[in-house]
Amino acid sequence: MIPWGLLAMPILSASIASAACCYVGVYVVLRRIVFVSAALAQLGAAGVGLGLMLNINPVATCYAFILLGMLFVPLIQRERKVSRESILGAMYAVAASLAMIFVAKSPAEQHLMESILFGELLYATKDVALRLGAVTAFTLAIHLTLFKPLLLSSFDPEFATTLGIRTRLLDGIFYIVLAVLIGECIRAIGALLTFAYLVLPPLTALLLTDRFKSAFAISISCGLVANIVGIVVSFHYDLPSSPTVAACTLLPLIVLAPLALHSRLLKCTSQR
Amino acid sequence: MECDGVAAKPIVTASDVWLGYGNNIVLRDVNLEVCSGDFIGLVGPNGSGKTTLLKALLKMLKPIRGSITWHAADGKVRFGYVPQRELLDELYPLSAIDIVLMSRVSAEKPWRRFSSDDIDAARWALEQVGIADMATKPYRMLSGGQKQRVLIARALSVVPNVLVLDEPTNGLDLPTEHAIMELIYRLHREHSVTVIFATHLLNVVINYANRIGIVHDGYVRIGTTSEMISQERLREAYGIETTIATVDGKRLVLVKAS
Repeated sequence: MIPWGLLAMPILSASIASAACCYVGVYVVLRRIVFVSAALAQLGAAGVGLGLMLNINPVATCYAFILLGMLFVPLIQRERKVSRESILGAMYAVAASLAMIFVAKSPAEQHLMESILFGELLYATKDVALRLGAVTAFTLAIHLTLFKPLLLSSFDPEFATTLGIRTRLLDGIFYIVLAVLIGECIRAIGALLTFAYLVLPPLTALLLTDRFKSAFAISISCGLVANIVGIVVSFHYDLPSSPTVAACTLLPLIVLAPLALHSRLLKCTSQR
Repeated sequence: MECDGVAAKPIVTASDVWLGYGNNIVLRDVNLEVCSGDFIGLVGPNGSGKTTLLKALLKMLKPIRGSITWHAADGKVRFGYVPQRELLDELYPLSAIDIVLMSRVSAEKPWRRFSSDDIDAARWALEQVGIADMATKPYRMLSGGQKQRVLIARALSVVPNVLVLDEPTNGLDLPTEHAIMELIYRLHREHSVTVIFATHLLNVVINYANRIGIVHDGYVRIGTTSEMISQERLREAYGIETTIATVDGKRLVLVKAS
């Protein structure tokens, strides 16, 4: 017997967070900045850890670290001598280590470290859901308002410039929205699940469709399915909730990828 | 070089322009006037600065020295830009018409929905380039030539004064290259669109352009096609000996064996 009343708040919180992450994640995957989001998520976790260690507001330190990381993004993009991935990989490793060191040295209890890094969805409260709701509304409002120029400047920034679209400003807005979203999600659901939402459902969606708008709908749906299955499984088998949901974001890909492959093969055959 | 003829009016004028990125100077002393009705072929080896010059003409890059002036009857020069096809990421699940409609995105009202006029303009542009039946096909499933036509349709849908094309025939087979050149030339004649065409292949453009700019060694030498396609000019620009042949009324530049 599944106690739906008890699981309603965790499922609601996860669904709100996943709606925004799975939407923005489509751009994260298409813009090839998956490692940027991973590094920013870990930096946010390190920021929370520092806040706990110094006994200052962890929200402020979380955002300070993410914003600091964001300042490096344009510099990384200009770097020619080494690959962008290697710099982001280094940033990720350092941020993850710092997060663990800070939390280990903080007066707070050990389970806090796990909650920051891996999240604890089952204990999500109404306050968490409300905060996530506000950030999701902010994220989707900006993205839907700027949908067309954002798509154009992501796909072909030079052409966008010839139309008078300010691509650098749009890039700045995109990264700020991403940073705010990651910052809030880390506190609520942990760095691991935030990263999983930003990558796996969008990846599944992009494998399944040739239509840009459908990719968002599929990505969000995959996130929702993963949430429900993950939280129920986590409750039923007494597993850590956020990692279980993160693992379940792979489920739609496993189930749907063979179908997509089959349909592509059929298309190829009919074209011949 | 100044615009001549009654109908020809200057659209863009570059005076003593230096271009580059930071401390890296790519082009020096560029003096160029793009006139209405021109078909300018910008020719030069890869990395010579053709794209840099195009970016400056498109207002994407500010000159380090000198000035560029844009003139147009209604006060605004509308550029239809066709970027290098290889630079566009095929991960994006977009159809041909999605890409053409990008030309109708408003910088002032980004939230504006596409009107029926926008959709008609996109369909008209696809018709002009001969792929109206592929409007809903995914861009990434199209052939190289079809993708190039989509990008030309997008540029055309801007209703441009000037069509700026950066290496549009790169990586295309011979019949497709010929078809694309004929298409661009037809659009130039039928719609009186001024064309600036950058390519590293001299022979692709010499039979279509009325003026040729050779971009080499940090400088741009520009003149009428007959002035520029001479053994002396080509020796000056490239430092090689050439033979200029005429086959079936078409000019062909061949490099002499050393």
